[in-house]
Amino acid sequence: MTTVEVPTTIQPEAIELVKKLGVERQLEAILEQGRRTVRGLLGCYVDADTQSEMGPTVDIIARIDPAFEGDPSHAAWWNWRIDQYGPETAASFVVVFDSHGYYDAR
Amino acid sequence: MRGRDLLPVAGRAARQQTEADWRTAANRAYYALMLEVRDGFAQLGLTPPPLTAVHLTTRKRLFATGDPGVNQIGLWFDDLQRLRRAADYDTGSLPAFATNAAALSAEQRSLDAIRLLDAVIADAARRAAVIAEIQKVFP
Repeated sequence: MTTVEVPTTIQPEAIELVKKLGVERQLEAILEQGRRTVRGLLGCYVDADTQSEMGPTVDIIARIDPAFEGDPSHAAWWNWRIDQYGPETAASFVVVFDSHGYYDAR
Repeated sequence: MRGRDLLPVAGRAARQQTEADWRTAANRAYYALMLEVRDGFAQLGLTPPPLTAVHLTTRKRLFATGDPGVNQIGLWFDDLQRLRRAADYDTGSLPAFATNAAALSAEQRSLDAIRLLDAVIADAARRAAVIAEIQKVFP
């Protein structure tokens, strides 16, 4: 697999939260693994849920070409962080696949 | 009342005509799954999480097993959680709520996840393996 260069936006609140949680290296690795393995990846947007009762979580939205919706590489990437870092650290990240531009205009 | 009882509410809201209804559908679809997972695991012997940590603890448990069905539920849980966050807290203009497509998808995804959970729970050997794995990490 070769790494695909895609636009990646990380919001300041996400940078702050990954520092607080001590998962900077893990975030970089997760994004890099996504760029290497996720078919149809068009871009990544990272923000943080620091306010709601569901967090705190670092939320990664992977924008996907609709032609690749449901590709097995997506679930493989989703699971990768659990295999690499265990459930506690993996659960610090919410990973979402957006084939419809639901979270665009950000 | 079971979590899944919220699904018809999500379905009705998703088929209404306003953004507020579609956001309500996203909320109900998330809660339907979250409550089913929480209560399903509690019935199998895991400690019911406190309300202050119910979302995170329920979600974490989906990460603590190698069962592919449970992992798939976790993937869909992430999807529903992110949509619910947008639905309930981001009042800006979002493509997700420009039509009812995301709301309908959320309803379906929640239903699919609950069916998967039912399949895990119905299989004695599988559920025993799943609960044993989770109990080691998030009892």
